[in-house]
Amino acid sequence: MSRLLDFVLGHQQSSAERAAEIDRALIHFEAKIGGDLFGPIPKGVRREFFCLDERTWVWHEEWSDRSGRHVSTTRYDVRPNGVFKSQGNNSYQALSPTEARNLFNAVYLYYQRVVPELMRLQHAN
Amino acid sequence: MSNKTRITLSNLHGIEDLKSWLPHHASSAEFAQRDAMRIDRISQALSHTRSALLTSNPELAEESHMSNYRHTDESSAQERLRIENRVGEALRAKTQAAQTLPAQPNSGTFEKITPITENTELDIKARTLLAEALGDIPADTSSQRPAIEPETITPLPPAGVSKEIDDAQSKVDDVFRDSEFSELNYEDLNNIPGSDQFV
Repeated sequence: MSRLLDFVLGHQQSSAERAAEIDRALIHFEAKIGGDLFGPIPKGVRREFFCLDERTWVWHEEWSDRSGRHVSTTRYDVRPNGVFKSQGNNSYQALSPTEARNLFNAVYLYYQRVVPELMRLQHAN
Repeated sequence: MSNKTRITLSNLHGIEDLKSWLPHHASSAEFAQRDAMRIDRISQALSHTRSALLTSNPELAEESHMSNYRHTDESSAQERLRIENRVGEALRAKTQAAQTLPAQPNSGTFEKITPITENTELDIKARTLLAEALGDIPADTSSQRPAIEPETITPLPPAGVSKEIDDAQSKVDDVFRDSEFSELNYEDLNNIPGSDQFV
């Protein structure tokens, strides 16, 4: 009985791990499309934009210059009363009107570009 | 996660990459299920985000409202044109019907010319076309649009206070934990296969 329980639990965990791994693969896939929504990316810069979950968007950039390598991750948390951005661990800011407008348009573009690709993936497999 | 998987994840640039990655990690059925869930998640995110942004940004809400209004207005104009064409068709049919009626006795006055009654077959056709056309006019729902009141933006608590915020950051970290991005230097960035697609 114990061995059977171990087998079932082990199988469930493995299934959950696979699900998480697939999700990460899809997010990486989407992030590349998302990063491309904002025009050409300068050489040496890595830009990604993706939907993390129902209420979180992430903008990630990496670049290097004479002062070294830089990594910037901005998280947009969607709340019922607005969207707030977080960079690092300490600051939470409301969006400026311009940033809000850009995000408003970006999420729609993301939907328009990414969802058809995901649907195409389903048919491709 | 294995090193092979970690590298492959960061190099997923297209469907073929994903297909080559897939057999080692999940069945097609599992993948299709997760893929469908992602689509659903993105749809929800789009809805939540746009709603939150419109709620907290009166100017954006106004712009969006005007954009929708313009769109509706353009649609209405096209719809009106279509209706006018159909009404025109109906009127032409009615006129033709009048022209084909037996000649009236020469009364000499308009008053004595029998009008085409509503019971004539062609008039019924004309009325039907008109009714169909008018039935297609979208209802005016402008009065039903909810009023959008600007809300006071409440400062969020500092990091660590809200478990929800910490959870979100953990999920972000989790995505990048399996990524090789943060381990790259400038030269490596230039050498990533396929990275030139961004340039």
